[in-house]
Amino acid sequence: MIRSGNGDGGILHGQIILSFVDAVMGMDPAAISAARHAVVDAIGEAGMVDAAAVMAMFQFNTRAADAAGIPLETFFGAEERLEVGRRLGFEL
Amino acid sequence: MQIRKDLTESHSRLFAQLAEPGTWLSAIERASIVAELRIVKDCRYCTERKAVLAPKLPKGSHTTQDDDLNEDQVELIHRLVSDPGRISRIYVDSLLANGMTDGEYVEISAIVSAVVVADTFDLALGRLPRTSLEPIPGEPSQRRPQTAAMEDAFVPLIAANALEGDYSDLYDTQRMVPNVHRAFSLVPDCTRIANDLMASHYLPYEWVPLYKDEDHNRAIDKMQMELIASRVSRHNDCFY
Repeated sequence: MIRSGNGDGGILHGQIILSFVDAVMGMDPAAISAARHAVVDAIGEAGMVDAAAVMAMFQFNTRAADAAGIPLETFFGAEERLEVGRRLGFEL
Repeated sequence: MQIRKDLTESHSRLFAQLAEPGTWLSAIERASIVAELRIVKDCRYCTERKAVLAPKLPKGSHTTQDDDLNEDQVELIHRLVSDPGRISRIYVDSLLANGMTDGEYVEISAIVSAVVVADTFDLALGRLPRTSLEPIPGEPSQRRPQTAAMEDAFVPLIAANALEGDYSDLYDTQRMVPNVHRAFSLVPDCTRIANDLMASHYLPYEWVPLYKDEDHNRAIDKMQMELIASRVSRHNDCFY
């Protein structure tokens, strides 16, 4: 089970970036507009564009993994992934 | 707004390719898939199903707009958009038992996933999605890679050491090939779409484990990129 969290993972402008992701995934145009402006103020227009690009690409990768049912690579196990989640401030 | 040229060009190539006949689907079917995936957000049945513990429990039918797609194709498109994290082996096997081929399943999955990339990007930037496709007449190639084989996945995959002939270009075999890169390899053109999108939006698949800060050329840092990737994965309930 993957659960929600409200940290920023100690990452520069992490909370503002996460709010942008959440707004886009929620598909609310008003929320997206507000979040986009906040991201531009924090990291600039080019940063906002790159954030949108990464967000968009992982819409592909998550669906590719789920649709094909690929297994996790054995060299990079669940514990390592959990550690990444912990470092990013997710509640696990 | 300044948008990197490689991003806009990758989207243009995507839609141009999708307007052509595919491997297992006609151009008309591919255009119908693009139109259908864009109405999923308004499908009441998908909203109800997403909210319950067991997605098979609520009975209902999807809001659909296209007569060129059959019931199982519509179901798959809606599931991929609204609830991809609960696609299971039983679910895939049931579609295949009803007559959908594994190649068709992979091609539909890749088209939906790729168009969601472009549409998410446009949504994030406050732009309208690209217009619907104008299908180009022709027949699907129906070329199945001979070395694709069942592993521990829902569909056959091409192993990193099994590239050959007209699909010898799919992976960078000098490096470790992650499984997600191989996900849609049963339809090599779908893997080529993934390669194009990854290179412009994130990093080429085989570069990810070998990332070095000194090669970084994005306006956000790598930890910010990983934070975004993780959050999207959480939204989509992706185990991977």
